[in-house]
Amino acid sequence: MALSSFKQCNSAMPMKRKVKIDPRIILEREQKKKKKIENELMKLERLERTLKPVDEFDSQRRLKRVASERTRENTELTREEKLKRFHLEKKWCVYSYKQYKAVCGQINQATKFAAEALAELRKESEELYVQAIQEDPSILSYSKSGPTETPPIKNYQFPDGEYNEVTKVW
Amino acid sequence: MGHVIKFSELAKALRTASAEFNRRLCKQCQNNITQQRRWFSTGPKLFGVWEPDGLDEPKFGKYTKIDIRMNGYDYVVLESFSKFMKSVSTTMDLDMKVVAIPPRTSSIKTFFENSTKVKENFSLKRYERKLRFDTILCTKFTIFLDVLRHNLPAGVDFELKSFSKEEEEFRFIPSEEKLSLLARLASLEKEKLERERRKDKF
Repeated sequence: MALSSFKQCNSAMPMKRKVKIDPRIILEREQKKKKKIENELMKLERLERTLKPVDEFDSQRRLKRVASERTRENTELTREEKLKRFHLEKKWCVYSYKQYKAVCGQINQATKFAAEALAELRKESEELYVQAIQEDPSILSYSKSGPTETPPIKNYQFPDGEYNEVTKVW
Repeated sequence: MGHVIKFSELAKALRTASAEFNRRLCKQCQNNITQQRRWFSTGPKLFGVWEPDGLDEPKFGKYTKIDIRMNGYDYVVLESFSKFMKSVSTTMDLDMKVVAIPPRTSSIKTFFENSTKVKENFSLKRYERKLRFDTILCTKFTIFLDVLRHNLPAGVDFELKSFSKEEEEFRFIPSEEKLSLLARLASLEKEKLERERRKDKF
């Protein structure tokens, strides 16, 4: 407190009186500022947002620069080799078509049996049928991991360690 | 596209469950039953109202804005599998989009036993893909999930999630302007709170 009075003695200009502004005017000013900012935000939202680059798709860009150095001339294939490859491709086409047909057959079977089951259920009771048709909210917690080559090792000693996320923050 | 039965055609069979029932009776019984129905259905004298069939049918439930999120450390396998699922969705006539999401890198360290001395240091990327459905019939979705489960390759995990905006934010680069505007808004609100606090004091 002493310091402030000392300062007051030294200053040449007289101190300004604090002007009491009406609280309504303060509120108005604030609201105006808020509106301005919100309008600008709306404008930004209308613009298209830039996506982050996906690493897997970017490697081609880097290689294009070095393409001239890295290209090699194609060697001429012998006639037998060409025929071999042609026949192999044919076999592969047939195999992959059979795979596709198998998948389609499975899907058809599943739809057919599901429809038949629902028809039978309807004969039994309408209530259960209506319930069966509705969506299942508990489905959203489903997760599965892919099959492993070997079964889990018994009494496996896990090594100590840590995971640190190091993703690039844009 | 033509190899898979359309579900809409089978739905007709579902609606007319009575048709299935009728088929199992002998012809005489069938005729008797249909004649009875004819007497009742067209009868303005009896009921005064005629309602067409198929209005009060219970509707099939639909899942809206559901994502299947696939993760894996090997992006070759993940990409080929997502292409396969896309082809399956086109055969089944579902509108599905495959969305590639930037990978998350993590530095993984293994320690020696009973110490924090670093043994090995790996830097691995976990790649991600999302199979996005806008709306899909429940019955079709279960069949799609079955195909997905049976053909899951090694090294790929999947989980079902509903669409959330916060997760979607990870895909985009945050614009500096937007952040500065949001910061200004926050500061305005702070000033407001401070002023109210001062008022409460007095």
